[in-house]
Amino acid sequence: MDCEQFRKEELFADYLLDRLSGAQREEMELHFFQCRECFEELQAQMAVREALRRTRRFARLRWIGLAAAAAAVCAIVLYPRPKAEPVRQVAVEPAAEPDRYAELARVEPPPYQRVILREAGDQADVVFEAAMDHYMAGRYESAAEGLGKAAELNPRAPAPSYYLGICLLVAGRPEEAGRTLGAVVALEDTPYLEGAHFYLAKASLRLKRVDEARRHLQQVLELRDRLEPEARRLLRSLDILSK
Amino acid sequence: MAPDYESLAERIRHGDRTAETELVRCFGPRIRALAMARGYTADAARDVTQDALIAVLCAVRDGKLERNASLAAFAYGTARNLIHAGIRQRLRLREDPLSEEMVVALSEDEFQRAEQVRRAVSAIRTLPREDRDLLLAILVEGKKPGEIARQMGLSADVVRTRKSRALKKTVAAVSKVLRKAPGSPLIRRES
Repeated sequence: MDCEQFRKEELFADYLLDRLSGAQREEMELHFFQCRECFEELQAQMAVREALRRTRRFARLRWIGLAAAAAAVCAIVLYPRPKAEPVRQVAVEPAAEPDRYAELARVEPPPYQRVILREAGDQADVVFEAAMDHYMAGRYESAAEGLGKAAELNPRAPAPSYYLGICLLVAGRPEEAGRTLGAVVALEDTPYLEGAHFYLAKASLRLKRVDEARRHLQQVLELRDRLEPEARRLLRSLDILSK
Repeated sequence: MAPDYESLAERIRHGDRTAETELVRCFGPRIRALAMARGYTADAARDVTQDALIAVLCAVRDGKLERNASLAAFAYGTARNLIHAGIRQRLRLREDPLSEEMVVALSEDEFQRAEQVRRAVSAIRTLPREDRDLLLAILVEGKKPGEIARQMGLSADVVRTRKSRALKKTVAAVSKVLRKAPGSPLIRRES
């Protein structure tokens, strides 16, 4: 097959949707290694697919955000106003600049492997597992709701707060994610300590707090565990961006 | 147009470090794209890309490539096998990891990819709502034009035409980034 046929038969979309036979797929992939134009077309279509996914997710989050905003407005209107308090000084955020760290701040939720226990768990465990069903299905907003309840039922358990922090990050709430993951770090010696520092770094990057992100990544390096290579890569990318 | 792989392999075999970075710029984005198309996450795709590049570089340096002209096929075969295997062979722990310049070359591709997606998002937002839904249904959800045509009360041909037009417009916005990018994926050597 040649370039013209690939384009004419719209095989790019079929390739990305995994609809080609093994032989067709291999023929096309080898062609991508040899042809600049077709590889550029593939990259462009991959970017379009990714963009479509993001706009769909953004649309969902926007509806949730609008609902939350409406609820907040109702609460403000209906809530009895307290006596006037002295005006507090609020730190002014630095002026918005292009987000150079967006790619580094991107979060891929870690997989969750369910542990089957012989004995039935308590109520917190049941709520946690139900929330993790949503997590595994990619319904992070629903998962966050359940994980919040599980964390309230058992504040000493690190797992609900850890996964809650990740869900909040995915939902674009880095401030809350930071607080939640900070609670996991405060528990100190848990299996989630490394991950908590790692995702705290991601939350800091979302908030453009680069020094804070570096500190958390250094903590990951010191723990010398699974996420060490990824933390090292992120630090190196931050160095490149800072130059 | 095919690049000059033969001389690229030859230069690498003779210890030309800039040729090695060219190879990384050339095949890195391709290997990553393949891995992503096969369902790898971005992080896993980055790992397998580095592993495959090291394997290719080591083989070329050691003169294990039978014909220099078959560099693309060799790079593809190596990448495909590693991606299929789904395992990380920890080649990065060998004594000869990717150099700083090569890692920077790969990072440039990542930033470029992010820019492409950003442009695609902007282009998609300018499309009429129906066209956006149509692209989503066909390209992401994998629905057939006939199926969508029935739902929308249109003919399959109309759906196909609208999809092609919308896709062309969006791809054109993304392609501008590809053409402008300094580290364009395939490098034609100036001789």
